[in-house]
Amino acid sequence: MVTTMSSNENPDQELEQVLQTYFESEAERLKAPAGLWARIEAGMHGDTGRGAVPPVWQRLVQRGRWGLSPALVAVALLAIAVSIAWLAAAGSGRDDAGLEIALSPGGSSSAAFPTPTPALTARRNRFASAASATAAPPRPAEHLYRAFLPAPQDQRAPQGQRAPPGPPAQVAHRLR
Amino acid sequence: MNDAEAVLLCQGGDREAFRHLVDSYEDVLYGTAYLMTGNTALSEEHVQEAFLSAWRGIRGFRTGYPVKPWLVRILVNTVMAQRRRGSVPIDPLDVAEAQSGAGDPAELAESIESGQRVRRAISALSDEHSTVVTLRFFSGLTVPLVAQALGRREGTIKSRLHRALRHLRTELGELAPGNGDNDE
Repeated sequence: MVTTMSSNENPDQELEQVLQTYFESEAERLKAPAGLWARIEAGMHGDTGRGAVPPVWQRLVQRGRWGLSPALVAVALLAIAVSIAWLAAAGSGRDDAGLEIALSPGGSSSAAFPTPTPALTARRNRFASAASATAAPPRPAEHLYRAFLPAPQDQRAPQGQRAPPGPPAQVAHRLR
Repeated sequence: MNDAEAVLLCQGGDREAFRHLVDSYEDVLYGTAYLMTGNTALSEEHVQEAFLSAWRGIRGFRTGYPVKPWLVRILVNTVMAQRRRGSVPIDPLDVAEAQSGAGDPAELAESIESGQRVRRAISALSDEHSTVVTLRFFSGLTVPLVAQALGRREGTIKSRLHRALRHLRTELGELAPGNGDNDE
């Protein structure tokens, strides 16, 4: 346990010998108590430190490479997947014929209802004439999604008076 | 099983491999703790705490490095933390039984006397100096390993060791008569 000093570190060999003798005698009497390992082992059993193999839940929340825990990565991926699914559903909802019917009576509504009943047709015509006579104020939540939808046909200008909307017309021109 | 193999097994959660490390180094850690604190109960507590800290942190230990300086460093940090919290009472019973191993009464008396003188001289050192002397001569660490264990630069440890030995030479002039250049 006790080592000697090299002459480079300390030329005082006699003092070194005195210290060596003293610490050797100390080492003989300074022995660790007998039950030390049992106490350490008991502490290890109650210890969930990193030395032991951690349980599964701890491995999930422990930071791994790049400081990210598997649980955090899983939550982030789930959030991204939910966002993508929500956006896809919202995008397909813009083309929903039922919603278009609610906003633009007449015109395209016939595509959603290929065979309207006479009563429905009459009611729709009455609604169209009333809407053209007095423009009803928009419903409270209507303005929130109206901006994302094509303008209702009853609000569009006649074909001869106003140029069609820009981008679709340009695309159509190029396609011609 | 050598230390490197034991460390690798411990990093996989093998408690028996850790027992190998405890068996190998419990005496040197306990002795170091006692020489730093002078209290047996506190030394046991420090050694136990140091080994548990080592177990918790063994996955971060780089294999191939010596284990003893790493363990000694953990122990020293534990003792230093205790010192910062407050003073440690000296256990007088341990001092009284210090030289019980000698057989011949004359040798016993001489041993007790010289041992007590060395002990007094070491205890008169500052904490920094006595720690360096203990780690160097009792724990058996080289100067670079003492520096590693204390988290200091090697030059700092050499300087502290030189000053500590100069002080001890002054105090123990009669035990080491050829080197009594009382330059302090």
